[in-house]
Amino acid sequence: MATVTGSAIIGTLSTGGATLLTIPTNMKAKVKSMIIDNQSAAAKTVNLRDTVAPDPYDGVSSPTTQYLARGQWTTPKGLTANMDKNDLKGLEFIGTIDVYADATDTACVITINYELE
Amino acid sequence: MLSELAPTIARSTVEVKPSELLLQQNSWVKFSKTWGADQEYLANNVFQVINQPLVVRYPISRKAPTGHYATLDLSNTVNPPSTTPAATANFSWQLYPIQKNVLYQIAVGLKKGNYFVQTFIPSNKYIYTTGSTSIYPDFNSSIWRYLGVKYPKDSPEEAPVWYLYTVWNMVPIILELYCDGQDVDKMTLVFKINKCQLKQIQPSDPKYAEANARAMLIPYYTDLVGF
Repeated sequence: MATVTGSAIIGTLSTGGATLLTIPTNMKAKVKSMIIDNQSAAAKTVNLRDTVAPDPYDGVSSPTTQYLARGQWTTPKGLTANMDKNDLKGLEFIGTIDVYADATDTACVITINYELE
Repeated sequence: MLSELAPTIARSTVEVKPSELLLQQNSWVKFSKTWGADQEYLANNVFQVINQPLVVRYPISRKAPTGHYATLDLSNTVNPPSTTPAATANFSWQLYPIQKNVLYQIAVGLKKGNYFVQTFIPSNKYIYTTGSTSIYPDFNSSIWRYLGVKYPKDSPEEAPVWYLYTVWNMVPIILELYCDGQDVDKMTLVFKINKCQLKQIQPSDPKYAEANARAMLIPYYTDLVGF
């Protein structure tokens, strides 16, 4: 199957999480680059979680949703962090890519470029 | 019931053209003499593919935590629920023909991931094991859980070399997908179903002798074990 590429952006961060990308049923997402543009008045800590609803498996017919931490980054106020594929090597998601922040914020924008395969 | 190319042949063939591994119109197949009660019309008989086969792509993904397995019943035994299939564990994925004189040749391609596949035909019979009765595939054992399994690299999605064959009302083929990596993984199998309509070649047919000698033999599961 051909690889699909794209980008996703989120400009409203919250402590409760916000979905950056929902991954299609038969694909996985690899994050190839990420930009955290923190123009807020304070340093911002964000983490990415893979929210996964497992299918029924041995002995468990209704599995519970899992929230899998995949990485955490802190960006000082007024700065932009750029991470390329080498920095993000192995960062793979199978459910949804959700962004969690240490505080609600509309001045910190996160952009990712991804590949679906 | 299943076939697999030897590694050297697989490599050279894949480099040429994987699609040539599929049965074509006018291909010959022969079923071994051991085919069971519901398939007596197939046993020890030779057939010709009479249509231009239709290939149906059918990807199936299962997500399971590491150390656990998801079960795929490829038969038509239990209908899927009318709601989202993932909500119910106990149903069949409907990869069998619904009438006689139809053969599904199914190429099984495994997408990359931290998992492996164990094969049962029917549900309580291991196919890939040694002849010894002292050992058998066992997910509870750190040693024997790896006995006879297929990894994604063994039949990659881009160039599958692992084939299953299904006919109407055949015993179920069960695949168990065991997650063997970090936390949870998505295990995706891409089935390419080559739907072939068959017509028997009678022994009185002038081409029977050649067809009988050159046809691709499709074994019954009992042919695959016990040695």
